[in-house]
This record gives sequence, C-alpha cells and structure tokens, in this order.
Amino acid sequence: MSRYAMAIDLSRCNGCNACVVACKVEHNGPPGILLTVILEKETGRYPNANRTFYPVLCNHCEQPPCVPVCPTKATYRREDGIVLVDWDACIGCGACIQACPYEQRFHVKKEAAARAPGGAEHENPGLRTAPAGVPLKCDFCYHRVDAGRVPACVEACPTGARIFGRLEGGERPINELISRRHARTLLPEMGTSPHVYYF
Amino acid sequence: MQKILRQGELDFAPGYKMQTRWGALEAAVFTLECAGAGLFCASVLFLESPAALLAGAALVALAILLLLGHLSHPARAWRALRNLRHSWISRGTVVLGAFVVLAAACAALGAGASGAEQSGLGALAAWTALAAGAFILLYPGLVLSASPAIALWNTGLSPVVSAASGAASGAALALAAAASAGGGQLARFVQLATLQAWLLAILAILVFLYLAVMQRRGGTAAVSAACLLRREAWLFVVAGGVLGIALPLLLTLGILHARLGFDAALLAAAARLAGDFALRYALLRAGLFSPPV
Repeated sequence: MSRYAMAIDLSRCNGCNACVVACKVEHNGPPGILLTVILEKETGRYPNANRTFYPVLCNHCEQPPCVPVCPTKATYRREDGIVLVDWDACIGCGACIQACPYEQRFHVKKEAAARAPGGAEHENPGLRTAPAGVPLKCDFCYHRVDAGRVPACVEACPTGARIFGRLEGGERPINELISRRHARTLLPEMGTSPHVYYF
Repeated sequence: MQKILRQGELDFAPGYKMQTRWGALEAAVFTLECAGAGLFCASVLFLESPAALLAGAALVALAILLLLGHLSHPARAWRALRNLRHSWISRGTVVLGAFVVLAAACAALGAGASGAEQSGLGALAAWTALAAGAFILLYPGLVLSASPAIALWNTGLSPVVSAASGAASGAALALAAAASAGGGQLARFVQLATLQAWLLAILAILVFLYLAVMQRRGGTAAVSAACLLRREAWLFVVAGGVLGIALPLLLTLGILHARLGFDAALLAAAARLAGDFALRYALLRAGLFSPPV
C-alpha cells in the first residue's frame, strides 16, 4: 500500500500559525502542547537577511525510531505509513519520546490532561482526548484521512503550503512533486526516511 | 555556550534541547540495578556470603520497584514483555525479574566461589544469575544507546561505561561486605580490593575515552560533552569523577598498601555509590536533541 506523506512549500508558508491552531482544535490539544509548530530560522545579515518558516510535525518516518524502542508495541505504524500510539497499551516509560530525533512526541502531564467536565466549547467532540501519562503526537489526522478528508492543518493553510497525499497513486501523488522540486527532509543523517518533505 | 532549551519547552527558534523526561529517578534506578548486579557477581566470584548475594538481589528488586514508580501506568507494566524482539526495555524487564529470582535462589542454596561442594542446581543458578547480572550491568547503556535522537547516548560506549561503573560500585559494596566479615576472609578481601582498584582505573580511562569520542564526533555530541564539563561540572567532574572515582581509588590503594580497614572500605563504597549516581545523572542531564532545522 502506498504511504501517506506531506510536502511543505517553504516559499508559501508565511508563518500565520493557522495550521497550529487548526491542529490544536482538531485534537483537543492539552495546554502547553502543540503537535505542529512553525520554527523561524533567520539566515544572512542585514541588508541580506532572510527568515524562513519551517512548519514541523511528526515525520511519520519509514524507519520510525519510536516504534522499535516501545516495549509494549503501543507505538505502531499502519500499512499506510501513519505512525500512531495505542494509549490503552502505553505504560508511559518515555522511551519513544527520547527516541524521536524531531522531538515531536509530548508527554501528557496530569495537570495538562485534567479538563472541565464536558470539555471546552471549541473542542472536537468526535475525538478522544489524550489521557494523562501517555505520549501525544501528530497522527496525520487519521480519523479525517480515513473518511477521505485531508488533515486539519492542510485544510486550514491559507496559502496552500501544506500538500497531503499518497506517495504514489491517488489524485495527487506526492512523489512527483518531491522529485520535481528536489524536496528534502529534516535530519536525513538520522536514517529515519521521514515522510514530511520540504521544498 | 549556545542557549539550550528544555524538552517540551515552546520556543519558535530552532536550537538544542535538553532532555528532561528521564532524570534523578531513572539515574537512581540505573545505579541501584547495576550496583546490585555488580555486588552479586563480585560476591559469587570472591565471597562466601549468602547475605551479600541476597543484598545484591534486594538492590535490584528495589530498582524494579522504583522503575514501576517511573512509569505513568505501572498497572500495565506486564505489557513491557511484548516487544522482546526489538526493545531493550522489554528484554531488560525479563532479565531483571529473572535475576532477582535466581539471585535469591543462589543465596538460599549457598552458591558461591567455594563451589566445590555446591549442588549442580546451585551451580546452574549461580552461572545463570551471573549471566543475567552481566546483562544488567550493560542494560542502562543499551537502553540509552538505542535512542538515535540523543547523540551523547547513541554510542557503543554507553553500555561499556555503564557496565564499568556498575561493576566498580558492586565491587565496592562487596569490599565493604568482606571488611565487615572480619579477618576470616582476608585473602578474599585483598583480591576484592585489587579488583576494585583495577575497575576504578578502567572506569576512569573509559570516561575520558567517552568524552574524547564525543568531542571528536562534533555537532550535538560535542555540545553535550561541553555541557558535562561546564554546566554539569559539579555533578560530572566533582561528584562523578572526584567523589566517585578518585576518592574510592585512593581509599582502595590505602586498603591495599597502608592496611586501612573497615571504615575505609565503607567510605569507599558510599562514595562510589554517590559518584555512580552522579555520573549517570549527569549523562542523562547532558542528553541533548539536535536542532531539527
């Protein structure tokens, strides 16, 4: 089965953080945890300074280091390449958090998981809220993808910087875009073969 | 030195991040399980003391209890046996449990160095427990080295340093146990003191080698090595190096050459345990994630 991937056009991202907010709302994100953030990197010196916005999220790697270290197999990769966590099987040892080179797994603390009864008004009632003591990460909005939609961050991006699809096949195969635009991945030296590409 | 953020801290400028998920509790677990396994191995090979064997098992059992406290969901701890094929934590869970049972059995059967008159079952239990003990000495380093994200840990030297540090702690405890037994075990006492001195010297060389390799590797590993020598200097250099290696080595040499007695062995063991903890805690605290962009 062809894997899901995301390609991010850095020339289009203007750092508006709409994707960050959309993700937070979609996942009922606990306080202090953002499953996608936009890093700002400055290069050059005045008057030739430049700022690039890098949206970062779980890379849903082909060789995810978080999967083999999990002693309970709570972290697993689906056939379509989406890396997920079974919260009911997780013992909260933290090994996966330490193994992720992109630092895209977040431990849900007790105080962060505590919610008002019924949740806040803006929360997504259709999605289970992360319990305390488990790792939380970007799940490529698998619940939306399974229903034929795109992840919330892709839908919310006003500039169309985030492109989601299957690497091969489908309506918009990502691999063509990746090779045409010479896309690269973050920390390729880690040997994780990420499925989030930047060009 | 560059600005270093804490793990999970929100900042929109890419930079190094210090891991904070594993800290003093995990360092204590690693110290206790290695010291317990080291004490057991040294006792089986050099002492005739069921109490020392039992103390080794008790230290590892205490480490297991603390380990359960480190988990967010300890009631599900049995699930840690599910990934023996890939996870060092899974393998360690099996070996830690088996070690406690085997070591307690050895203590009950009186298995030890004298060995000639011990039963076949006792010998089998002793050798199996020795193998498990050797694995436990390596185990913290194996867990750390399996984390590709943290360059300081992701090296084959991690298990070696862990084993050397644990073996030195175990030998120090065994030496204190031999000293408390009095003059009846003088030959064993001298053997253990000699072993302890060699183990401490090897540990010192390994720690220097580890630092040198990290500095030569460059990038995040070199920044971590600089952290060990500057930000964590009190823990790593003063507590880990001076208190945990130099002082016990001096005391052990004093025991061998100046006939220092029980008090020196006890002090060396206490300093060694504190230094072992400090060394492991410093290595955890200096674990840094590389900037993603």
